[in-house]
Amino acid sequence: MFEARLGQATILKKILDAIKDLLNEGTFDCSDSGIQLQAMDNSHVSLVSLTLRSDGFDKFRCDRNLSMGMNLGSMAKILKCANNEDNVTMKAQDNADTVTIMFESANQEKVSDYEMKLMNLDQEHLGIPETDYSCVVRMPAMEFARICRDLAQFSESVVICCTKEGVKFSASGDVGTANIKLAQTGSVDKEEEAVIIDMQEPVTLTFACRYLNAFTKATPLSTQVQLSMCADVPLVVEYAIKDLGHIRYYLAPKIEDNET
Amino acid sequence: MSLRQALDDCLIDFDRRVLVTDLLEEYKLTYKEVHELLEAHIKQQEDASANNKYEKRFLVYGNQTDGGELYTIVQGEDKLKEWIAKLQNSQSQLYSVEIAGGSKSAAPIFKPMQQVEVQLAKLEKRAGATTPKGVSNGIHKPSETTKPTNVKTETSEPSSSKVDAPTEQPKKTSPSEQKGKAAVAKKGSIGSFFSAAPAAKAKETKAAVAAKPASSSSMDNFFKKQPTSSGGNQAKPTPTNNMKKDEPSASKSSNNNTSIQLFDEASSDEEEKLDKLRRKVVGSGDESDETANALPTSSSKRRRIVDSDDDEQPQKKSAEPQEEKLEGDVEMEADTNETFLDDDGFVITVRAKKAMQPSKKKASPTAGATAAAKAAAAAATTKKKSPPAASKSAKETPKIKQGSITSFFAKK
Repeated sequence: MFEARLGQATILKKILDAIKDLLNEGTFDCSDSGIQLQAMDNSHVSLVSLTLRSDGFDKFRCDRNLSMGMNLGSMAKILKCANNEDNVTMKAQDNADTVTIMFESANQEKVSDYEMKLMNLDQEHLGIPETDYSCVVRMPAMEFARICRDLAQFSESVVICCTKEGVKFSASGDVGTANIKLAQTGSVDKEEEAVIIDMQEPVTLTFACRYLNAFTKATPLSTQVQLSMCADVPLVVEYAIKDLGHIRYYLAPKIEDNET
Repeated sequence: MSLRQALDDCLIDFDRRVLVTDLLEEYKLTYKEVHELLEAHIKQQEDASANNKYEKRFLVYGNQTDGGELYTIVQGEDKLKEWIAKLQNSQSQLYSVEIAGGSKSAAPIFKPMQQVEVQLAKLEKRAGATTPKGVSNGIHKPSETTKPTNVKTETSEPSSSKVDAPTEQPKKTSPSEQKGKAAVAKKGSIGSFFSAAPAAKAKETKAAVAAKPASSSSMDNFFKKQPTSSGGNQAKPTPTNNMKKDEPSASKSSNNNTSIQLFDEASSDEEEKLDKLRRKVVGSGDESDETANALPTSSSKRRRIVDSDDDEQPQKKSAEPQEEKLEGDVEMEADTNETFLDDDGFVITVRAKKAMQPSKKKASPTAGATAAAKAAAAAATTKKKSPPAASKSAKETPKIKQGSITSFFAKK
């Protein structure tokens, strides 16, 4: 028996919105520690890793480990039926082929439940090694989303160059070139507006704008985004989900083609 | 009119094979009536003169020995008897009658009545009154209705006209017919709209241009008229141009058309005015005529076409080299400007420029060298012109490729 209850449906809505553009389907692996989802996008360029800790739920019960393959589009449709303040409960029997999602209004006057068919997805799980990243940049999630959106107009690729002075996002295309520099903020009143760079050594990497823009769909989940970079290693874009867990996106860098 | 009356009045031409089915259809009679009337008529005719011999064909139907049904047409009563003997449950009916010997060849196959009627209707439209009466019987060879005869009758007219340019044939047939064609095409495709619009425009401009020389009779206007009107004409035969996709030939034919049409369209009054002007331009007409005659040309008409092309030089540079190539050595001889009237009263100007252009074409070594240098310089400039962004991006795209996440993380 699996049962997980969240106080606000809006969080689950935001999570689904953050991943449904990249993934059509995903397997939620439920265990007593919480819910995890890991999946690559269709082109195998990026990887999504979602972790929702069990202690972040209002109620969490998982008698046996359970993998629930879901069509994320369908789930997003169901979640749209919930009000933001509704309590949401996910239920599934052991070895069940359906999951029940129940929405309860705050005053318990309205209860709606939806049953969704589960899928048997044969998805590969990748082992993500522990990595010491050369540069870790924390910056406002909104700012990062804005930068990605703006630079996508210039080129398909964005070069992220991290030095001790700051982080520079560059794009060059037929229109021209665009450079956006963010310096580390000295002291800010609001923590969520801070740009904090933790740099071991300078890194310059090139990434596809398209994926970065897909990652920024998670912006509503968090005020801050963390970019972790290291030479010849995928970029990690992490959005923390307050009191619940995090969503991490891994993006393979564009690499020099030695064949040409 | 009854069949009997028609037979008596010799309205049915037995020189061609007369099908009983035709008569059935024509006179709305039963087979028995037609058969009896025909037999009676044939007997009467054969009795009247020993020379009159009729050849009959019979439709024979019966079962073959292997069980299959058979329909066949046999010639003469002897063969009919043979076939009747061959077939089981055989039946026979008179199929056709014609005068024996000297008659036109028979229809190759049995044709159903309606089909024949359709063909006849088409035939009568095309051939008009000249269609032989025998055809109305529906017995005719397909070769008798060939189109070339039709075309010949049309094309024979232009050959008798004064200006017998080689390109006249398409032009002659085009204006009315092709307008009609264009109207038909308009319904079908959007392309016809695009082709029709410039033609209409050209007409307008041509009308405007044609009005000018009438009001002012200065020489300048006359000389201006040639290129402008030819420009208008150039647009006019768009239907023909559309039909000919081949560019060089199309442009060539349009060139020819321009010169012809210029003189075709001028009314007799206008021509007189123009003639006066020409004489003024040329000075003494006799001398120029002599020079015109002295020139070793294959045809004055051809020269005229070339000349009109010359006037168009600034407008049509693409069409020009091909023309001149065709003209060849004849034009190379003329080195100086010469203006004269030819036999037909057309002003011909042979320019020295004409001689220069072939030399351009042939490219003397020095000219070739300079041209090559120019081309090289142009190529260099175009290379320089290519946007640096493009070259940059060209550098970028092959250099960088998107990596795969699986190459960084191992499978569990």
